[in-house]
Amino acid sequence: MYIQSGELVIIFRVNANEKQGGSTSFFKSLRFRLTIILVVIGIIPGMIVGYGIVSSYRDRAVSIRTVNVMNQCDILSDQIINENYLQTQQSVALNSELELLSNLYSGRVLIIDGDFRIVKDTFNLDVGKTMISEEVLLCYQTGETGQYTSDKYIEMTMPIMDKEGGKHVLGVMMVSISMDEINACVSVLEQKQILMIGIITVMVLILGYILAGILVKPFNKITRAIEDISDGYMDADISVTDYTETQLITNAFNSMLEKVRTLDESRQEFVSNVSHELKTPLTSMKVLADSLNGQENVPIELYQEFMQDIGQEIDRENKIITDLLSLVKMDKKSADLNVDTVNINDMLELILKRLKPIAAKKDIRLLVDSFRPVYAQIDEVKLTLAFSNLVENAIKYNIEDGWVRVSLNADQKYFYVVVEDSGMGIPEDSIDHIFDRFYRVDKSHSREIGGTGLGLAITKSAVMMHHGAIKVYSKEGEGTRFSVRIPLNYSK
Amino acid sequence: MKKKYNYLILLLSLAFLVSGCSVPGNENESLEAELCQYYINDSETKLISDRFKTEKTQTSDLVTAMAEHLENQESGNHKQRLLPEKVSIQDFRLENRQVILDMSSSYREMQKTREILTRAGLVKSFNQIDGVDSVQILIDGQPCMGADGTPMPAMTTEDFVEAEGREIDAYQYGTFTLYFADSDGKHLVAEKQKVYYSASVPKEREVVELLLKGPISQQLMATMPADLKILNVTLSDGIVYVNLNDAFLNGTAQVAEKTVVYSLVNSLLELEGTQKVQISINGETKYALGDGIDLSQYLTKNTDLIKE
Repeated sequence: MYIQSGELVIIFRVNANEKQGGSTSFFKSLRFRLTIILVVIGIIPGMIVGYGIVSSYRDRAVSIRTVNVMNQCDILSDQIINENYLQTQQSVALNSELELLSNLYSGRVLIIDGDFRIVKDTFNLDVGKTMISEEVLLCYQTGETGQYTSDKYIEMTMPIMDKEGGKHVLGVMMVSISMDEINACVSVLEQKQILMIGIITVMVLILGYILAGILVKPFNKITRAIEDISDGYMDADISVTDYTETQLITNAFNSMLEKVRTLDESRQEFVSNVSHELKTPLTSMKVLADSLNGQENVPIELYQEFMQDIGQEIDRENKIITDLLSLVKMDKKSADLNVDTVNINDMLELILKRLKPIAAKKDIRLLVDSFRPVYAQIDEVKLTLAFSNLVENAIKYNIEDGWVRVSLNADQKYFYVVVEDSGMGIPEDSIDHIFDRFYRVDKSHSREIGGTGLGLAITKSAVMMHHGAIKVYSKEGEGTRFSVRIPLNYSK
Repeated sequence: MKKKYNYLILLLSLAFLVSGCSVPGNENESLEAELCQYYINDSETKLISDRFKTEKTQTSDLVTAMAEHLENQESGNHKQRLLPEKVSIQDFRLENRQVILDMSSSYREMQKTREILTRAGLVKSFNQIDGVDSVQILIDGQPCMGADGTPMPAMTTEDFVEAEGREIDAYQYGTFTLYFADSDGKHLVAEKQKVYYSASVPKEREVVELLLKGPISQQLMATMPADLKILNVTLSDGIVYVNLNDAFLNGTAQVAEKTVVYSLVNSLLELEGTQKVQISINGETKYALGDGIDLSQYLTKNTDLIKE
């Protein structure tokens, strides 16, 4: 299978990505969640409203019915007293009115006299029997209208009272109405409600899914844009301005992209610097060797001198490579820190002892101020390297008869090492760059002074690995002071 | 394996024990009678029933036992005695399947609602006893007077209704076409009746009940004998099976036998889904009535007798 053009590769890759998504991650997707939320928001209010309407209808229907019936019964009750209905049930008008009332409300009317006997029953079933239901007895005792509702019936008991003559309860009118009609209405309403909810649910599901898809699109845009960049088109920034949020994401991504670019650039710069630095000693060596080869009858002294020079250049090259290696090792994020409890005072004394000869050459005094014994959890090798660099620089860039002071102090959390010198100082415009790799303040004198330009870079790297801090203060012509702070206890 | 066998034996023996328990239990229960005694609630608006057991079996003994229970009732726990403090059963006797209660004179002093409940309680208490058909209440030897001045008759449990208001759904409404005899006792005239009846009663049964009640119109005559008892009415596969007691054979005065039979048959066949009628007397169909009516045969509508 041949890859015919770069385009094909990209297309394939994108497709593979989509397939990887699969069905399980659909349920974790924003689209799905948005759909669910929209469905819930769409349906629940509908259900609540529907339920509220239906139940308020039922209550309303019941109360209207009861009020109407009670009004009618009030009127009839007066008639009953006037026409002595409780004694004789002959009144045609009353009989037909009671019949009408019971038919109209599909209910049953019982007229009960003072002896609790049923004198009239619109169902024609219980005339002559004695009524002892609790509702009727209560009405008789209290003289108050009673209303009893359940989901099967509405029952009302009304006292038949002689309103003028002393409010004596002469009898009771009991009306019982079936809730069937109301219940039938309610169930029709409920069916309609269910139908509506069903329709709404389907619509909301479909619309919700579509809408959710539309809302989520910009995020897919971001994903694709980032994938494009990973493929290698790093030059352009990405921009998805649909939402504030996506814009923020793309902005953050762009600044990260910028950092990656600068890192890429600095890497290229580093590589070119390294090759340049590595080439320089080789060039010198070549020049020396060529000049030896080019001449005839070269005296042995000249050979010796040139070979010495070549040897020095080789040493220099070696040192550069060694420094590069230690720098590269430190570049790997906190890799292989060999942490141990170390006596800092002893470490510093050792460093100074080793550098004494070099200092002696320039008559430079080495002073140590140690305020207290300090024990810290550090990587001895790396920090030795770091402090050695600082002291070496202090010596190298110093004047004749100058001095270098190293002081050590500590508090509860950190220990502080300060390396001061009376040297030539660092010019203001260079101070920000001194920790950069291969940076030399004075390029013209770099050969004489020696070194690789990597020392401070290594020092800074080592200090950073211990989560410490390094600061520099310098005045040209007066001296330089480096302050280093390292935590006593190493924590990842 | 041994353990399993042990378990099996244990289970089986338990099963035997349990089944054994129920048998003597049943026997014991059939010797006892369970009766309800009535209390009144605190607000004096309803009866509260309470069961008790007694080993008596004779009607007279049961009546005595009930009277004793009523006298010894105690108030408390949200219920009061059926009989108020001063009221007591002075005397009681069982005569001709009727219990006559002679109440003390303070019976008259009871409030109306209290009195009606007490009355209902007394009637229900004694009427439930097998062998007591009705209850008569006297006050101090005198018959109890109603509000209209007439003495109160003996009462039964059926005379008191209680749940009519709540059981509106227990009734249904129907229109029936019934055939009654006209004034000459020979012909049948149709009468439409629109009635409410219990929802648990099927239409075919209601037809017979209505025939028994008689016509509304004064011009028509009832065709069913007054002492007729309806044993069973069933509609099955288009055939109505009517089971009556032997009062049917005696017929009705002033109405021809043929008219009596066909008033029943025609009325029933007015119902939907009916084609034939089979009448039985006490379960037997081997009867022949006058005019060649053979009860062992299915009977169909007779239009000749109908007078328009």
